[in-house]
Amino acid sequence: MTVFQPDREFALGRARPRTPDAHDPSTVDGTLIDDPGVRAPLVLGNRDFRSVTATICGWIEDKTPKWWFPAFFIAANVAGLGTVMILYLIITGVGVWGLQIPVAWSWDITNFVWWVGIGHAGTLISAILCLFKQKWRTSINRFAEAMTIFAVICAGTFPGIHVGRVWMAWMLFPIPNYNWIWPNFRSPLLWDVFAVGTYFTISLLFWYMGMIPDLATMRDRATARIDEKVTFGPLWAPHPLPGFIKRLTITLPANRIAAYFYGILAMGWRMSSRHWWNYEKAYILLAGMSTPLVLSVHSVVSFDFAVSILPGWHTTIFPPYFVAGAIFSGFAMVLTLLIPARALYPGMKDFVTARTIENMCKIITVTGSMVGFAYMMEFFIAWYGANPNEKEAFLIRAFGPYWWAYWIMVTCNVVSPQVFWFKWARTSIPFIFLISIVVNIGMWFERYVILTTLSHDFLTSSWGYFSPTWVDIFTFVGSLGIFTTLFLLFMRFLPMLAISEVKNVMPQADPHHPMYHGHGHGNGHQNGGH
Amino acid sequence: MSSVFPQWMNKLPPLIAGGATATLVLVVAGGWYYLTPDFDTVGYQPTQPVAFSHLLHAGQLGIDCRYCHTKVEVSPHSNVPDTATCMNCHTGADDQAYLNNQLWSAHKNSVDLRQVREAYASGKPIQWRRIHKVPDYVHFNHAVHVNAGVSCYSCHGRMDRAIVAKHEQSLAMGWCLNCHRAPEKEVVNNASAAFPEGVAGAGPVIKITDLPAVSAHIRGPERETVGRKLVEAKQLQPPQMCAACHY
Repeated sequence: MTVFQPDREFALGRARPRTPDAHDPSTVDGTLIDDPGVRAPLVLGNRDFRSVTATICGWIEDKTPKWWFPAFFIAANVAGLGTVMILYLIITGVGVWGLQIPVAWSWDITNFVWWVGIGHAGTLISAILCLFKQKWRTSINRFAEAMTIFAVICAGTFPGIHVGRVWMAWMLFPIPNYNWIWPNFRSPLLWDVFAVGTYFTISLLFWYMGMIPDLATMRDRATARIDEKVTFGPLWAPHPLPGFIKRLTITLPANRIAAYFYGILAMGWRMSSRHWWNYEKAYILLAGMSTPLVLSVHSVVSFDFAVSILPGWHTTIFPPYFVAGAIFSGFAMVLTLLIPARALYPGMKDFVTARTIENMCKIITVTGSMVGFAYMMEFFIAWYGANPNEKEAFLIRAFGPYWWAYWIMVTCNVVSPQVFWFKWARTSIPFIFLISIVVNIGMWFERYVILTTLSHDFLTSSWGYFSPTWVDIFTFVGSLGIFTTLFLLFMRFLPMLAISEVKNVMPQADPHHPMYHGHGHGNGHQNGGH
Repeated sequence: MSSVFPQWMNKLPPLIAGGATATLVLVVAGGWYYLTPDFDTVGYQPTQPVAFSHLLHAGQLGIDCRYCHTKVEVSPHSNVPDTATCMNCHTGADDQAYLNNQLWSAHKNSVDLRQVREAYASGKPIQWRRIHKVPDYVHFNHAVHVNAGVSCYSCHGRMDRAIVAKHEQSLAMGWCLNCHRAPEKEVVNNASAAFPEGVAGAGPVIKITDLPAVSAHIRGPERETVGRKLVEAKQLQPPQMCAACHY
C-alpha cells in the first residue's frame, strides 16, 4: 500500500515531477504552488536537523554582522532621544505636549493604541495559528512574539507618562493604600490596565517558555567550546592590527559568559522526555490562554472610547473593528521587520519562505477589508441612526479640519491592502515591504483620526485644533527607537527562529520518514512502501 | 555533556525563590508599618517656646476650649490664641497695683510667663510650633465638624490631660473616611444652632468641649443606637466625593 505523502516525497526529491509548478518562475522559491494536491515545503535547501540548528544558532554565534553596529547605534540614539523627551515631560509637565482642552488625548493615546495593536500579530501567530495547526507559523512565531513584547513595552510607556504625575502611576493598580481609595472599577481605563498587564505577562511567559529548549541548545553549544576566548576590538580595524589599536582590544571568555547566560535562562533544561512532555502541555495551555487575549485586549482598549458617551466614539462596532485593525497593523509590522531580516541573515529565506510572506499578505488583505468595512459601517450607522450629533461627528471626521488625516487613513488602510488580490503584489518582496509600511502609517492615522473627535466639542465656542509640539513628535520617534533597539538586541542574542518547532514541521520529523532517526517507528511502513 | 554549573547551584533556585518571597513580605510588612502616618505622624510632640499645659488650664482649671480657641465654631480654622488672651489672666501687674486691687495676675512673677509678657509688650507673637497640618490640597473645616457634633475629642483626644500637646490621630485620608463613612461612631448630642436643646431622645445633651463626658459617652454601651439616632435627626451626610475636601 502506498500512500502519497507530499512532505516525504519532497524530502526524497521525488515529488518534483508531480508538481510542474515548481519549475514555474512564478513559484519564486518553489513554495508558491497553486496545486491543492501538493503541499508546499516549509523548509527549503534540503536541510537536515543539524543544519537547521547550525544556521539559526550561527546568527548568534558568528561574528556580529557589519550592518548591526550602525543600526544599533542609530536605534539606541533615537531611543536615548525618546528617553530624554520622557524625562523632559516628567520634569516639566504634560504641557510640553500639544494637548489642550478640549483635545486632552492625542498622540499619547494614539501611540499607545498603535503599539498595543501591533503587538496582536505576535499572539495571533503564536497562539491562534498554533491551535489551528498552521505549520507555516513556526518560522515566524518567535520573531512575532518578540515584536509583541517590545511593542507592548512601548505601548505601556505612553499611558504611564501621560498621567503627568508619573510617581503617582501606581494608583492605576488597585493597591491597598492609606487613603482608603481604589481606582474606579467601572472605568474602562482600569480595565485597560488589567487587559494590557495580563497580555504582557502571558505573552512574555509564552515567548520565554517557548524559547527554553533553544536556549538550552545555545548553552550546550557554548559549553562545548567553553574555554575558547574571543578578542573584541574596535570596529572594522585593519588586519593585522597596528600596535596602538591592539592595545584597545579586549579578550574575554565569551563562550563561558554565553554558557552562563543561556544556562541561567534555560533553567536546567536537559532535553529529557519528561521535560518535553511538560513543555508541550504548557505550550498548548499558554496557546489556549493567549487566544482569547487576542480578542479581548484590543476590545478593552476600544472600550476606552466606546464606553464614553461621545458621538463618534460611543459605538458597538469598536471592539471587533479594533481587533481587526490590531491584527492588520501587527502583520504589517511583522513584515516590516521580517523582510529586512530575511535579506540580511544568510539562510533565513530557507525558513521564511515566499509562501509564508504570501500568507501574511492574505491576512493583511482580509483584516484590511474588515477595517474598511467597519469604516463604511460607521458612516452607515451615523446616517441610519438618525442622531444628528453622530452624523455631524462623522462628517467632521471626513470633511472637517482633519480631513487630510481621514483620507490618509482610508488610502493606507482600505485601498492599499487591496493590491494583494494580485499575485504579483503578494510575491514581490520590495512591494510588500512598501505596503507594510504604508499600512503601519495608515493604522497610526486611524487612531489619530478617532482621537481628533475630541477637538469637536459640544459647544462651538469650545472647538479646538490639536497640533503636536516637537516633544510630541520626538517622543513618538523615540518609542520607535526603543522598539528597534530592543529588537536588534533580540536578533543579536536570542534564537530568532524557534529551532525545535521548525524541526517539528520538517519531513524528517515524521516517524515514517526514512531519514527519521527516532526510536523504533516506521520500519513496517517503510517495508510495505517499497 | 559537561555541565556549566556546579551541582551545589541546584540549591539556588529554591533559595532565591524563598529569599525573594521573604524579602517581599518584609518590604510590604515594613512599608505597612513604618511608611504610614500612624507611625511617622502620630505622637509628634514638639517642645513649645512656652511650656503651656493643657492639663492645668483645660483639665484642672476647667477652662472651656473655646475660651482660647475662639473661632472654632465659626471659622474653618481653629485659631491659636494670641498673647492678649493669655494676658487676660497673666497680666504680670506690679505689686502695688495688685495690692490696690486694681489688677489681678495669675503667677505674676513666673519666669515661664516672662516670654508671654515680653511678647505682649513688644507685639511680636510667640512662635508656637504647629502640630496639626494637613496638606495644601486638603481643606478641613473646624466649624462644620464641631457644629455637626464632632467633639474636639474625636481628633485631638483628651487634651485636658495633655501636659504637652501632641499629634493624636494620623489625619490620613483613610482616617477621615473612616468617620465620613460611619459618622454614627463619633457624633455626640451637642447643643448647636440647629438644635439648641440637643436632639430629643438621644440621651443627655453633652457639651462638645467636655472631653471627659464625650469620651465616656463615645465609648459607652448605647453609642450605636444613639449615634444612629443623631445622624438621622441631624440628617448628617458626610460627603465622600473628592471635591468635599480637595477643592
